[in-house]
Amino acid sequence: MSAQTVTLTVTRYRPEQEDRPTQQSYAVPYDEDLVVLDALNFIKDELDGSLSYRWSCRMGICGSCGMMVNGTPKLTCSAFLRDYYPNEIVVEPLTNFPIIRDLVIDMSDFIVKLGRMQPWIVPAQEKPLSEGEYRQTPAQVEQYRQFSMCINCMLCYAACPVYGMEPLFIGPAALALAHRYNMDSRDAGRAARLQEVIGSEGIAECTYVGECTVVCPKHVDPAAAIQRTKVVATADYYRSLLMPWAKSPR
Amino acid sequence: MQHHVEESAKGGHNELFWYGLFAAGGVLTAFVVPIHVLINNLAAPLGLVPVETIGYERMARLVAHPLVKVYLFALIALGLFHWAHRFRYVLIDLGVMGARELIAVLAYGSAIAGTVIGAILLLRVT
Amino acid sequence: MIEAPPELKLYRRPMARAWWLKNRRYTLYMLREISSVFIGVWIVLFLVQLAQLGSGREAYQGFVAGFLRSPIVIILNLAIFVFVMVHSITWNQLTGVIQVVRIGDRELPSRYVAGGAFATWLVASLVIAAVMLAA
Repeated sequence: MSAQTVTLTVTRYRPEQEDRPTQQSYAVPYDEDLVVLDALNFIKDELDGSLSYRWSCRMGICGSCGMMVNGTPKLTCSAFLRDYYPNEIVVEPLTNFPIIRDLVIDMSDFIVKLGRMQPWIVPAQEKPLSEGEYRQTPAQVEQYRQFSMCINCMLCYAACPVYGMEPLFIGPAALALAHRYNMDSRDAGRAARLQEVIGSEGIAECTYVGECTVVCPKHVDPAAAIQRTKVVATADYYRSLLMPWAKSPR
Repeated sequence: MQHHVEESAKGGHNELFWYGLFAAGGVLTAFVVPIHVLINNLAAPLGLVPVETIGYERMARLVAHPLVKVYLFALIALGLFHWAHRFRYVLIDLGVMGARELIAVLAYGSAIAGTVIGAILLLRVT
Repeated sequence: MIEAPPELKLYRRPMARAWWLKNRRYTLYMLREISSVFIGVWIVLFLVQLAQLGSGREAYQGFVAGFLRSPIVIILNLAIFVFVMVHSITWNQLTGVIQVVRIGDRELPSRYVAGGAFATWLVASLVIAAVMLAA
């Protein structure tokens, strides 16, 4: 292995000994197939065992290792050092979330919002097991498949300026999750979910900046999910306003 | 939790009302405003097309037609509501957080006023 | 929102006021949104034009010759034209993403939906131009 190094400057925050975050720089070995997560693991293993950060699968599926890399929300397991070398790499905790320690953020707000979306199949009628499984054609699966790919990595929340300015905003991933269930042919819970998301904390707050879709590592396109929800909700509302006798499609 | 959802939903229905006008206005203005600006405000005043295109005779005759009145009313009304909703959120984006309700009243209020004025002005042309 | 235990001493970073200058896409987004202001300005100008139209030939012709043809107003209208084009182009592009068109089992790819929006824009413009120029 070559003796090249690259500088990683990471946020440090130790609440027991300081009131605000600082930065600390480390020289880590560089190789073209290393990722930022490898560099963080090197720091923890060899240079400074006190550095705290989240990670797990290191292959872009668990959603644990989201951080800001040079100002952009990224999965550190998928951010290659070669895309930044030889420049300094600045690693910070995900924007718009409170910092617990070092690179670890408090995600409890996100978890609560996911739950508010009733992220499960709400059947029109409870079917007994004896009636067998729900069936879907590939075309029906295709209607929601893209929106089911979310790994809950929260990069979209870090990218979203609306969430940054309005902490009550439900946010991209949660709204995309609601849309995923609304579009599922097995589900009949759209009306209840819409009640939850049409308020000022929900879809109304989104102004289609679109950065959530740009940073999503799984190509979920939460921005499209939110705009489509707006269209559906608005159509439902105007239909009930102008044609109160008409029945809503679902 | 239920009360919170009900309150939120009522406000939500209001939001959907304005959003619907914004969306309809966005579609209409996207399709027709550029050509109006091009001919009415640039090409004709500059003489790139005959100035008579927006001359008194032509315009009075066109606007006197009831269908044209309906079209122009839709364009004015929906265009103003499109502006109002979007402008409201531009101000929010720019960090004007405190006066959210006041901004909404001023924005939608001006759109309503402009719509009424537009109707009056259109009816004035016979 | 779950309240974290105070002994956690969470640190909340303040948000930048000019967040929309932070990257190119944010700035383009802001320009896109500001196009709505120019739509509003044009409508106001048009309302003035309608007012003059209803006030008789002299008033209206004075408006066209004196106001619409003045250099400052022409420049303003050039700016209006640029921004309403930004509105039309971005709106039609985004229509492709937002409007799902289903043909039988499958969804039409977004570029065809956007193409339909652009085509409608073209047709509408030609019709209006024809009405204005040929009346």
